Amino acid sequence: MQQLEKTRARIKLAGERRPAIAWPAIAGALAIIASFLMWAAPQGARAFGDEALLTVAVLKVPGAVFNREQAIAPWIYEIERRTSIKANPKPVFVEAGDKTIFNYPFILMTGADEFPPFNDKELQNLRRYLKYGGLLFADNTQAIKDYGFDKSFRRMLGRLFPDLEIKATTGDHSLFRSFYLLDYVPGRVIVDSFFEGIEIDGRWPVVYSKNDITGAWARDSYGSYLYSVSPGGERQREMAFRQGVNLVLYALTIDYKKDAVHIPHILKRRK
Amino acid sequence: MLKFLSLLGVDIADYNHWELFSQAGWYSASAAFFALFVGAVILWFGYRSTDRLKKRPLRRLLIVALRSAAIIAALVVIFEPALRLGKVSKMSSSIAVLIDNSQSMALGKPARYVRAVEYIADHNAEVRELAAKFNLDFYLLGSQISRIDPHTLTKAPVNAESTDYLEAFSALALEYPTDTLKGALLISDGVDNGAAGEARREGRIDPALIEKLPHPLHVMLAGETAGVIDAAITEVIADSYGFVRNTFKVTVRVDLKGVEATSVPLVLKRGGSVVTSRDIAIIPGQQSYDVTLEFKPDRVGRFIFSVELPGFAGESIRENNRKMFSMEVIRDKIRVLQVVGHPSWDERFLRRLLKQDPNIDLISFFILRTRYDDNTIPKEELSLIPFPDVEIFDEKLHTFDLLILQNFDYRPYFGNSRSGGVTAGRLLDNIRRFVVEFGGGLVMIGGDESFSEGGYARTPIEEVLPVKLFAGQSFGSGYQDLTPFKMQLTDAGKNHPVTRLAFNPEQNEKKWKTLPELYGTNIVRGLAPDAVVLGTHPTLRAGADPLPVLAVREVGEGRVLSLLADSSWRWDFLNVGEGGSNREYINFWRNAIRWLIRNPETKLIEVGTDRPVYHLGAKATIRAEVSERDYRPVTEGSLDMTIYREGDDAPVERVIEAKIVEGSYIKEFKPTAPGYYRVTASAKGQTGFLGSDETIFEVSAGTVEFSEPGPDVGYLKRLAAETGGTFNFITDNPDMPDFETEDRYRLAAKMTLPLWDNWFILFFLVTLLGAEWFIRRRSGLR
Repeated sequence: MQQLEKTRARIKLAGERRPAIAWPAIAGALAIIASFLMWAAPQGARAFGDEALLTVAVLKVPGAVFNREQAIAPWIYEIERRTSIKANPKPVFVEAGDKTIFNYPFILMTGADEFPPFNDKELQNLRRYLKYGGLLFADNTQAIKDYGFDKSFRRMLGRLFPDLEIKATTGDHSLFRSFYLLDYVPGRVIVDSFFEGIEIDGRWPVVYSKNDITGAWARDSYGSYLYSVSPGGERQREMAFRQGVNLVLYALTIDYKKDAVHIPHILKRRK
Repeated sequence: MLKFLSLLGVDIADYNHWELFSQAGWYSASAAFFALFVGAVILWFGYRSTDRLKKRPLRRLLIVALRSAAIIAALVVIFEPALRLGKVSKMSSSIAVLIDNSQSMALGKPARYVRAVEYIADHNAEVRELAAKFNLDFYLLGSQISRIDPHTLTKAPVNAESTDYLEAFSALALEYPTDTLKGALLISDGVDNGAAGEARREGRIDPALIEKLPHPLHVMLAGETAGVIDAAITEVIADSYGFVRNTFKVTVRVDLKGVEATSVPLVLKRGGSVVTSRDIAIIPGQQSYDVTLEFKPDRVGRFIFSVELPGFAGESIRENNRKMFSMEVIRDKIRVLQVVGHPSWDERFLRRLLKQDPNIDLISFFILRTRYDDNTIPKEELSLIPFPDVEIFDEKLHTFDLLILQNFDYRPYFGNSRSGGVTAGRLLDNIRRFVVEFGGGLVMIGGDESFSEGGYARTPIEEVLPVKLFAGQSFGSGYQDLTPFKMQLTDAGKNHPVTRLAFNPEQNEKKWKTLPELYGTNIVRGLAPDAVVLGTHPTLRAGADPLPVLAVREVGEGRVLSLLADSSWRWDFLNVGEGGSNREYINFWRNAIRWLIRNPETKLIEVGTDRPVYHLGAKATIRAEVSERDYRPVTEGSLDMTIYREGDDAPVERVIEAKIVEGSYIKEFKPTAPGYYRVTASAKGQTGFLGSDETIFEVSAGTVEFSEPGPDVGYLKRLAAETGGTFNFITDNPDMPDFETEDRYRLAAKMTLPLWDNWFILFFLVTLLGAEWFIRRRSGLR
């Protein structure tokens, strides 16, 4: 039953692509359906129940509206299409103070505007979540520094981890090599070429983008991308999807690609 | 003074000496000087105050005299003077003659000890002369000293098992506590192998020994210095344990005397096989060599090694050409190979745990993309590498201690077009052999691509798994159940080291009950016959029994664990979210790893001795502790034990089917020959064969004296020089050394007579002051 729902969701996604250019869309849809059939047939059940699927949990921000709901399905679709990860196409919404966030080790937070501060109980729960293995990916959809969401989010981090500084990623960070080899943080725009975040014991439980990555993924109900991507156009959008894949792989494998067995291959390909 | 005291009525018959001293605790010469100065100042001003009596000098003198007497009386009270009476007697001084009677003194022709005794006999007149001037005491010196009548020296045994100068001279110092020892004569070969022996070998004198040496210590070397041939291993310096596949260093201290060669081979052997060797290049004039041998142990276990020098013609002793040592080879790090079918939270939390453990060297392979995923991106833009199935499972598997197959379906990868003709069957059999033959640990973690779903039924892997699988491809959720459940601990699980989260079984069960639910389980056909189930599903069954969720099994040399779920990460993160901690998850997996790699703590049978080294003639106590597979002590079982002596083919003792009482068996064994002994034991319990273990111990014949026959000329010279004594070779037949005579006295029978603590002084003081006042007033002074 769950499998059927998943397949329906994917078929719907594929079928909703741009009706104005019908042939390419149909061809694409057929290709996707064919790939699903190829992938599904020999493998039987795809996961050990819904709980074994990667489910993206969206963090509800007090007084704010989640403005990138249309980015989740395309993102999950690309993850499933490109990797062996088994993911749930439907996000769940969680609150910072609720212990149910521990069911979902990956949470997404987006926003454009300033938001009111979390209360102490929420911060305490969130701190515990991040410290013990959770990952929060925050995407600034406004893509402006020192203003709006950026200002509030930094204030929130300061209260979450007052003893830790906000760091910027370097080029060899696992976020840029967990699946695809990337050189910068591609998004709807490029405000900064790096992520910022917090590091605890070699792991980044908080990853913050100011480039509106989710904006590059978002599609309307007809399959059209909602926002143009600049300055790199569609190539940059592709890179944004790759970054989305890397983000999830980073959450699931952390520094796997820094294992010695991978390093020579990565260095060779980086040349 | 004594006469004066006798006039005063003091009985002085017992005293011939007196001295004046102060009883005041604060007394010091500077304080006395200061008081006298103050007294003098007071007197001066007192004298000046009587200027008006210039014309009456006698009266003036009388006042000043009274004042002076009063000040003196006051000072007497302040300084509390006393007389100490005593009897001083002349002391007789002593000389000690120490003759080494350790086993090495029996070496030589004639024996070194015989030379020493003959020397004493030949110099009888000088000895008598010395005895006339001093108390001449003779001692035998070995690990201690013992006084001996010089007339019985020829009958004394030359059998002391060691030579310990520090112990001997410490004891000698106690023999003469009043510093009457005027010096000593030591006749020895200089091979101090006691507490100060380490410093001797380094060419110096132990500072503790320097403190105890008598002054002067005249030394005579009792030993031949020419013609001695001996190659000796005096010491082996090696750690008691080393790490497998890591360089291990053994430093061997070698003494080569009179060896006519340019180089001497030093060989390190294990059980008769040469492990490594090194040639020692002989440097003219150099006797001692520190040689470091290096090798890499290739197996985990406890081994006996020997270092050996060849024998040389004319060698005084051959026993010291070989020395043995034992060593435990352990893992430096547990090498874990984690192969994961696809990334998941279960993989992520387990990897984090393994990565954070400093004792684990983790190699992970995750299938990040299958052939069914988008393969159109050029590989240069990806960080992916091909899954090296053949390299891992055909070439490198034996370098790991533990293999974790986590929700991994081998079929797309094993024996495919990239495998270069290596079949899936071969790789699967390699895994089986890794467990059964090489003692590796195997974990299979559940999921939709694992156990029956992973196609492992009827493969070599199923042969070693604790669970029996369903054959054939399953679609849908045929061999899975997706409902959440709480794993229930079995009776075995309450005691087993894998599931022991608390020492007390009840508390352990309680802890398990508080852990979050697992989501979904693999369904299996049943259990392998000798598997132990630690956790079961609360409702589902495999045949007549509850469905196993966590089961373990010992197969051949290795151990296997099956966890039929892919959500154990919930015991970590969810438990934290519910206000608990992740300790239970961490401890569970650490326990599991320890058990899987046969950590000594998790052995079912453990054999040991109460001491690592016994002296020949002593009884060795060998103890075996035996547990059933659920780690409860064996109540009905038997044990076979065999004791071998290193180098002998036949065992020296064998015990067959001895009864195990409450999990223990104790064997007392009296070795009849020195050497290294190996004990092997195997046990059976209610569930059949439980395994085997072995231990080794050493039986020493006490030949430390022969490990280095000496003599050590340099050491003896240093001792003599340190104390101002002389050094001579006994073979030169020198005169007996001279010792300076000096009269010494002893103070005894003391008595203290306080001079201030009486009424007379007080009365005298008051009278003087009163008289001074009276005369002063009568003279018109204030």
